[in-house]
Amino acid sequence: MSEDIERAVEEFLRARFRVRPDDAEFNRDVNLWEAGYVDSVGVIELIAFLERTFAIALPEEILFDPDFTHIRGIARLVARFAVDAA
Amino acid sequence: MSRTTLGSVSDLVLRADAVLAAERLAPDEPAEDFGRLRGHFALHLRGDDVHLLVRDPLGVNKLFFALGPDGEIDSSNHLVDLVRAGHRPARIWSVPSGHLVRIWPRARRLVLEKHSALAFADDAPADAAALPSHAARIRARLDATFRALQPLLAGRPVYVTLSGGLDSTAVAALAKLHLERFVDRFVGITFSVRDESSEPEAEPGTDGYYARRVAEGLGIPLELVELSADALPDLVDEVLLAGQDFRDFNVHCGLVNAALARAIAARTPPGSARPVVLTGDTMNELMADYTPVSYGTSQYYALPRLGPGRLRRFLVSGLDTGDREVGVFARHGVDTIQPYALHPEVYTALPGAFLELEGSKQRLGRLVMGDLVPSFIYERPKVRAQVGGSNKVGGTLAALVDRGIDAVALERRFCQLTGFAPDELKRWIRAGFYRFTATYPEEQRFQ
Repeated sequence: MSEDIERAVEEFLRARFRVRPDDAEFNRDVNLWEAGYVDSVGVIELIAFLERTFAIALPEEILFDPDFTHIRGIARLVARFAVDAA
Repeated sequence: MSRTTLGSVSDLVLRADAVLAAERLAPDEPAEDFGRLRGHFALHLRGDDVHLLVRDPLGVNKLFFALGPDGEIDSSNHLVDLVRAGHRPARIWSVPSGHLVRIWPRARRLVLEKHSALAFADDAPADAAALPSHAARIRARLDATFRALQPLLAGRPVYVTLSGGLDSTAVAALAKLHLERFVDRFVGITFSVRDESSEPEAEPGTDGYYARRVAEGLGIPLELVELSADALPDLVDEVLLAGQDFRDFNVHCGLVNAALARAIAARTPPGSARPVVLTGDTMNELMADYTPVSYGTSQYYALPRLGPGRLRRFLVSGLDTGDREVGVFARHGVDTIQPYALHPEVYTALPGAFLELEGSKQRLGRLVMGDLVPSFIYERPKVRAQVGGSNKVGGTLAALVDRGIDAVALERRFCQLTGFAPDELKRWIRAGFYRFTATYPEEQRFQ
C-alpha cells in the first residue's frame, strides 16, 4: 500500500509543481519544503489532494512532523491515518 | 498563577454570551471547558508544577513560548519579545489556534490538546430554502455578541474601521445599534494613500469615497487617515515585527492598520481609557471571499487551487498566522475586536456549495442585515483594503511594489529584524500555521 501512496504523491507533486522529468535532485527522500519544490500555498493543495484521494482527515499535528517533509514520510502518515479511518 | 508574561495584547474571553475574567480560569481545567470559550485570547496560566498555554479557537491572538535551560517558560503574544529575551528562533514555538499546551517542566513533559474544532459544511449542497434560517442564526449571534461587548466597551473610545465594503459596514451598523450609547466616543475611521493628483475622498470608486457615503448613511462621524505612498516604507519594519509575518498580503494589509493605529494613538489623550477598534476582518476567510490581484505584469496574493468550500477551511485555519490587525493595533495601545471571529461556527455551517454561487456574500448580507446597511453597499464590487479602490489597483500594494519592496525584500527584512535565518522561515510557517510542537522540545528534532 505504501508504494502505491508514494507513487500517487510523487505523480501529484511532479504534475502540480512542474518537476522536470530529468530533475536529478527530486526523489522520494528529498525535503520538499527546504528544496523549494512545494511552497506555503502548495502545501495546502497537497493536503487537500491527500485527504481527497485517500479519504482521510489529516490533523494539524502532522504539519511539523518530521515525516511530513518527504514523499516516503508522507506516505507513512497517510497509511497510518487511512488505517485509523477504516 | 499568572497570565502571559510578556506582550501587550488584551484578551477577550466570552462564555455563554458574557465576558469572562481570564483570571477565573485554572490551569487544570479540562480541554473541553476551554472548548466552550469564544473570543480573542492567548493565556499562560501557572499551577504548582504545570503551565497551561491556551489560545482562542481561530487564533486571533497569538501565543509563543520558549523554554529556558532550567525548564523555565517564557511566553508572549509577540515572537520578537522572546528573541529579545535571548531565545533562539529555532527554539520558539507557537500554541496553535484552538489548542492548549500543558507543560510539566520538572517532568520534561508536554501535551498538546485540541480544545475547539470548527465544523465545516464543505460538502453540503446549497439549499436555498435553508438560507433564511442560516441568516437568522447569524444575526442572532451577532446581536448577542455586540450586547455582550457593552460592559467591556462602556466609557471607552470606539473606532470602527470603514473600508466602504459590506463586512465593515455591517459591523459599523451593529455597533451603532448596540454600542454607540454606551461608549465614550463612536467614530468611523478609514485610510487612504494620498494621491497628489486627485481628491481621494471625492473620487468615486475609492474606499474613502464609499466610507464617507457609509458614514453619512449610518450617521457616524468619519475620520480620514491619509499617508503619502512615499511615507509607507517607513512603516514596514513596524508591521513586520508587530504583524509577525513576512508574507506580502499580510504586510500590505498591516500597513493600513499601522497608519490607522498611529492616528488613533495620536488622538488619545494621556491617561484616557484604552481605545478599541472594531473591524470587519475574518469574514473574508469565513466566506472564502478572496481572489488574487493583478498589478503591473505580476499577480499577487496567490491562493491554493481549491473550490470555495475546501478553500474556506484552509483560509480559516490560516488565521493562526499573521497579526496584521491585533498585533499592529496593540503596538500603539489600541485593542482590536473582530466580531465575526467571535462566533465563527454560524458561518462555517454555511454549505460549501453556497459559497460558489455568484453574489453569495451580498445575498447572505441582505438577509442578515436588511435595511440596517445602506443599499448601495450590497452593489459595490469587492475590494481588498490594501488595494484601495474598485477602479484601479493602488493602495499599499502598489506603494510598496512601485518602490521595489517585493516579497523577497520583505522576507529578507523580516530575517534581519528577528534574527531568523532565511532557511528557518520555511520551517516557521507551514500551511498557515506557525511552528508548534506536540512533544517536549528537547525530544523533538524539527525539519
